[in-house]
Amino acid sequence: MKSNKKVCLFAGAGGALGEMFCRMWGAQYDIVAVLRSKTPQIVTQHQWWVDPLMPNAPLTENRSGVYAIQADLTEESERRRVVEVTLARFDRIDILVNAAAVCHWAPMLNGRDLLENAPQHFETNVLLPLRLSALIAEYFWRDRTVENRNYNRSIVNISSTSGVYIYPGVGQSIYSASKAALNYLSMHMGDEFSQLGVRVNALAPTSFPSLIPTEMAAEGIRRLAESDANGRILILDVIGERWV
Amino acid sequence: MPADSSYVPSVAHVLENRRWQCCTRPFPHFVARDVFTRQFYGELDAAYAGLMARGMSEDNDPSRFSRNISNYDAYSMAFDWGIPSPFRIFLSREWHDILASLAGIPATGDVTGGFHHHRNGSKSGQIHNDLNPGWFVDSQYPGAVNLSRNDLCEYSTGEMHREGYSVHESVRALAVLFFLHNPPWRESDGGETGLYEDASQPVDQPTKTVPPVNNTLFVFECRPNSFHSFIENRNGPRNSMIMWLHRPKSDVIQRWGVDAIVEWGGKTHG
Repeated sequence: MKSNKKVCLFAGAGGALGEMFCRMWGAQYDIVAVLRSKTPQIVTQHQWWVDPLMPNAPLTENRSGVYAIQADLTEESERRRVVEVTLARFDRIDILVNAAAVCHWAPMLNGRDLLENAPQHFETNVLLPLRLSALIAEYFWRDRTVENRNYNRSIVNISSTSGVYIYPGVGQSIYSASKAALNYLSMHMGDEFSQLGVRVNALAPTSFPSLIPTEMAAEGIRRLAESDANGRILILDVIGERWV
Repeated sequence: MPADSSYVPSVAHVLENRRWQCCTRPFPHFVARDVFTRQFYGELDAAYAGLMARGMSEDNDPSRFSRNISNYDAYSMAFDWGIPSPFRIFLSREWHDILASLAGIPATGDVTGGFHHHRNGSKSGQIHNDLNPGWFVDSQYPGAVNLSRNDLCEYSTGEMHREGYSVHESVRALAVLFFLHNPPWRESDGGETGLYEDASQPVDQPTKTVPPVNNTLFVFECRPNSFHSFIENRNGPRNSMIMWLHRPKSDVIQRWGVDAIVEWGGKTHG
């Protein structure tokens, strides 16, 4: 089904942020929600709402659904499938949200837990956003510089305030390091993807929904996607928002 | 049929959430959060706590949670008509018919079920589909659900323990899990129900998971491909109510063939 809406590929849509983004902006964008095993409470081609007391009644909540693809994005073949299916269905990709993440907190000096999980952090939190972005550039954004600029196409990498500040004593070291790496990567991506007319920014929210509303983070993604910022980091925390 | 007439509220009066998620993958199922009103959920939670207070038995003891399911690392306690009154709603014909209508199954009114308690660190189960037969004494009370009676007829074999009753065999049609009396759940806690596209998948690599969040209902049609399993809980117990609605055996044979029915020899529950 093709429409005039912008097409947003949301990688890692199974979490709370993906669920909120799909709920808030499902009517504004054609969203492709990439999920692994967690399935958010959103309407897709595979799931919808029913009233248990009137199971055949049409519900207004079912009107704006997203298109879901279940995939393990750490596999290259799966990434290619996601991009190919998205382009086959919607003809274009205007926004890429890299929200897939690993978050495992453990102490450095007590067992091997942290070290065993470290490669997965960097693979998912740092390399995956780069790999997926480069793949979309290869499949679609390449040779469309003017069109990309006209559509204000962009990438939003979901980072964390843990990639900007140090929160000692809670075992965040590797997670924090991976998000810091993602921040620097995002700024470099902003530089290099600008050749294609594609902007790249990072959103660095603090914990949601415990410290800030999840809605605030979901709105932050939309604002970055609709802005003209490039190579920037937008911090969202209890103080408010500010740019790096 | 209940021996007493404890008040059972109308389902509509205690339902908090009338937006249940209907899902098609990896097999048809429903998930509903915040199912019941806070007050009614509180009654269910308190009643469950009362059952837990009877203690755990390592031997089969129908009056309390006990190790009575082979190859399943949990304590269970089967339904009977003496269960605490809030739980009687799950044995009401109204509840049965709502679920049967929702899933579109030709339910017989035959029901079995109980409560499961997984201690912290319980082992993952085996992937299975629940398309199992069940034996019931013929109902004496049309209009009520027909609860399995292991004291009269062995549910899994049909073996009679008392003369003078006629029995019939039906097949599980709808599995209904309700999570309650659990600590707050976090992603790393485990204890989910894993859903699988294939029975050969590693149990810790499900296609989808349903976490044991309190006041959440998980309902699925028992089919040849309704592969699911309990996944090891690493950080706290998992408590649940589980029940099954049934359909005529002839319906299963017509739909999937007689070989689709999984006989009980050595299989696991869950």
